[in-house]
Amino acid sequence: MRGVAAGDDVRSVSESLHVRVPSATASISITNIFHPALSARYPTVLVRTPYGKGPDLPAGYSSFLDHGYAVMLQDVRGRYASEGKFDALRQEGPDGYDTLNWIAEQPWSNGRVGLIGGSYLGIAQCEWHC
Amino acid sequence: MRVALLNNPHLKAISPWSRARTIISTGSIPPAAPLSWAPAALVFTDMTPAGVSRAKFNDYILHLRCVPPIRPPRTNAEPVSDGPESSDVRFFLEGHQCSGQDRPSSRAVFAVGGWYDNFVESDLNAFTALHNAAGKTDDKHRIMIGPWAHNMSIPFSGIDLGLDSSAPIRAYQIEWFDHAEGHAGKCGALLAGDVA
Repeated sequence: MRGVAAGDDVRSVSESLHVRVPSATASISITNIFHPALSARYPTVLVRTPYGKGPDLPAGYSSFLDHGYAVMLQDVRGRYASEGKFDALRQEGPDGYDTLNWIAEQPWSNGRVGLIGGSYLGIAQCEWHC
Repeated sequence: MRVALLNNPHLKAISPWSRARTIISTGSIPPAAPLSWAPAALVFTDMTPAGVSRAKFNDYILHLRCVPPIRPPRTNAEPVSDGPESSDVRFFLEGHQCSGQDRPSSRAVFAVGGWYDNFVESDLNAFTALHNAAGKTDDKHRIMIGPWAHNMSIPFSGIDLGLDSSAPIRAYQIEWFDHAEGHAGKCGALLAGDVA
């Protein structure tokens, strides 16, 4: 747990790094999770990336935490820390769907999720077919 | 039976930008190898889309490396140009268009695109399909197209896209998600219609 500056305030953030998130394809997506360190349930902003989630919360994402959102960054299947074979775009519908369900089952989640990201990350949000 | 990602009941909003199928077929890529618009990565891993010749694809990718963006900044008086893309390249750029018929979801969408991004056409088409799928009276969707290229955070050396070539995307996203989440809050520029 650590503090994230929010104006003059410093808020505590709970972080869980390198969490293993399974999918129905038996692959494991490695994920970093950040949320306000209170006993509450939060909506989640999910970022699924083939470019590397990084070791920590990237600059610019703390503003979501300040506004009461959890942030979850995930290496997609076959990229960086995640297992499996990378199948560009085709995998993102099924894996993304399973990740949404996984989030909804977590004790810090209120079951509501938004997706953000540009370029490949943006395309993946629109991968409608499993 | 699983259904499409956008039909997942937990998904309340999305915020994509540069929506286009940039990679159509896959190559064998090491997990930590650079994966981006890096032309060499696309060429050497043979991500040539079906129906496009390898030579044509490679030429196009290398062209991107040399002269991004394809569309130069325009003045207000200049007509919109289709750009120099060949029909093959256009197929590549539009290889994964939305028809609207297979988009039953109506998740809230805040899309962002750049006028000087090679994929702006598919951004607009995808947004139109999503908006139409949601119904014309639906107020869930916004799109912002501004004077920037594929990534507004990465300027092109020697090309000045103007003072307005960036936008506070994060603030807009928070406003958008607050709106989708039903949080009480002031109506900012995005929802007030100042961003369209």
